[in-house]
Amino acid sequence: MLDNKKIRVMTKLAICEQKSSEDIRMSMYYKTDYVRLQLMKTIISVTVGYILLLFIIGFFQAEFLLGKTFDIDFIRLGQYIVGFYIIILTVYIAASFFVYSYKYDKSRKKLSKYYKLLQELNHIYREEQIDE
Amino acid sequence: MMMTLLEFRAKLRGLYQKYELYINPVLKFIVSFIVFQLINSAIGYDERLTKLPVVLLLAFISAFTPSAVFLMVAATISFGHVFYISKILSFIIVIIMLIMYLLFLRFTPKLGYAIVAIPILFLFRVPYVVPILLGLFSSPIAILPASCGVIIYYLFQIIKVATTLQTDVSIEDTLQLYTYVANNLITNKQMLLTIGVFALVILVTYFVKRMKYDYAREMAVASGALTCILGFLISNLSLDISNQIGPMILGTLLSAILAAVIQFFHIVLDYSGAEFVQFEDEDYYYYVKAVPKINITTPEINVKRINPQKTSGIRENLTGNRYKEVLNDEDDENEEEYEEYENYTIKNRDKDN
Repeated sequence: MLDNKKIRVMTKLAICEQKSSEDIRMSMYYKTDYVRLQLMKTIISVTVGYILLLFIIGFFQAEFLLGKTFDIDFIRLGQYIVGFYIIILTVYIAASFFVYSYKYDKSRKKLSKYYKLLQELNHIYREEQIDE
Repeated sequence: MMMTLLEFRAKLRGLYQKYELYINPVLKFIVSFIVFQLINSAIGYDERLTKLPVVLLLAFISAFTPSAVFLMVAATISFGHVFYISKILSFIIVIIMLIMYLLFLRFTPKLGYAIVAIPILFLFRVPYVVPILLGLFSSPIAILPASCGVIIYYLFQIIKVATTLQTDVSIEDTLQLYTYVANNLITNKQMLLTIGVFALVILVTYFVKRMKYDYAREMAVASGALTCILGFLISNLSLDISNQIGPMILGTLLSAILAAVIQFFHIVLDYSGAEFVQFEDEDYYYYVKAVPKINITTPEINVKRINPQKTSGIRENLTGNRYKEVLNDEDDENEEEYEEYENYTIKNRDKDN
């Protein structure tokens, strides 16, 4: 027999899953794990982005750099490059730490409706078992 | 006047909900067709990509796939055109786009539209609608994609000029082309000022929207437009390009009107549409189409009772006993209000009697 009440709850659950699939994926992590993972991703992408940026600036200044290979103080240049890298990385890490923590907390709240529905479904199943 | 508008909106929503399955692909097809044609007319160097069947096919693909595919196709077309002229230049563009993605756009994946919308709307001379809408519907982080959109517009603008300078293709020339583009991009004050003004517009619109006034959203559109006009006036005058002031003011006013219309009708687009879901339990597979209930606002009719004595049968209606089962079954946010209203009406009638 089709149980209309159960179907209704299951439909709502399915819609929830469709709409907040990202929140559900997030809820599989602990907060620290989630934030750590996102921080790692951020660090990698910032590093790659920074290297590309250096590459493109280097390409742009290629003539200048090749012309004065012997006059450039490479140690100072390296210090500049590393210094800027550290500054940018710090800013990004700090920002993404706050943003992703906030995002995680918010997604938890969004899922409360989902959990409520899950409980409801659980309840229906328990009732069924009692009936049997 | 307002009432007819509201009714029209509700009707439009009903219509959209009913035919959503057909309207969405058609709209997507039209939009992607226009966008691809605009890209082709702006930088259509590779004639293979500008042919109508190709454009139609690409638009057709975009109509039935997620919007990310559309963005990818648009980016690929632009890339293809530049690749046709200069391979190094196209390589550089890919790197610039990668840098943008890695450092900025990663954090705002949902606002990818803004990056395409700004250059496209620049061609229509109403790019100002984008920062206003971003301020209305998003948060200040939208400054990142808006800035990237502006950069992309100016990048292609410069490429357009650069390619007219270049006649024959050799390595020396492409390197020159590249330095020309890079030089112009970095020293482009107009671009920097545009980014600044757009950021300011987003911020102003966002903060006005969040104020606790009546009509805060309408005020936000107006103040955003005002900021835009003032910002571009100052920047245009300081750059001494006063011939752009007229189109800019007209464009901004048009953008403000557009933004106001979109903000009025956004409920139509923003509503929760019919959902198609499938799931299973131990006994069955379910394929469910769930259509959310919407209430079309029809004009309220005020009935003034002249003879309040004839109330037989009304008690049941008012207390809602007849509908209680329905109400109990559904999760209803307004339940408390209903109950309050019931108690209130019962009390009042008792008093009257």
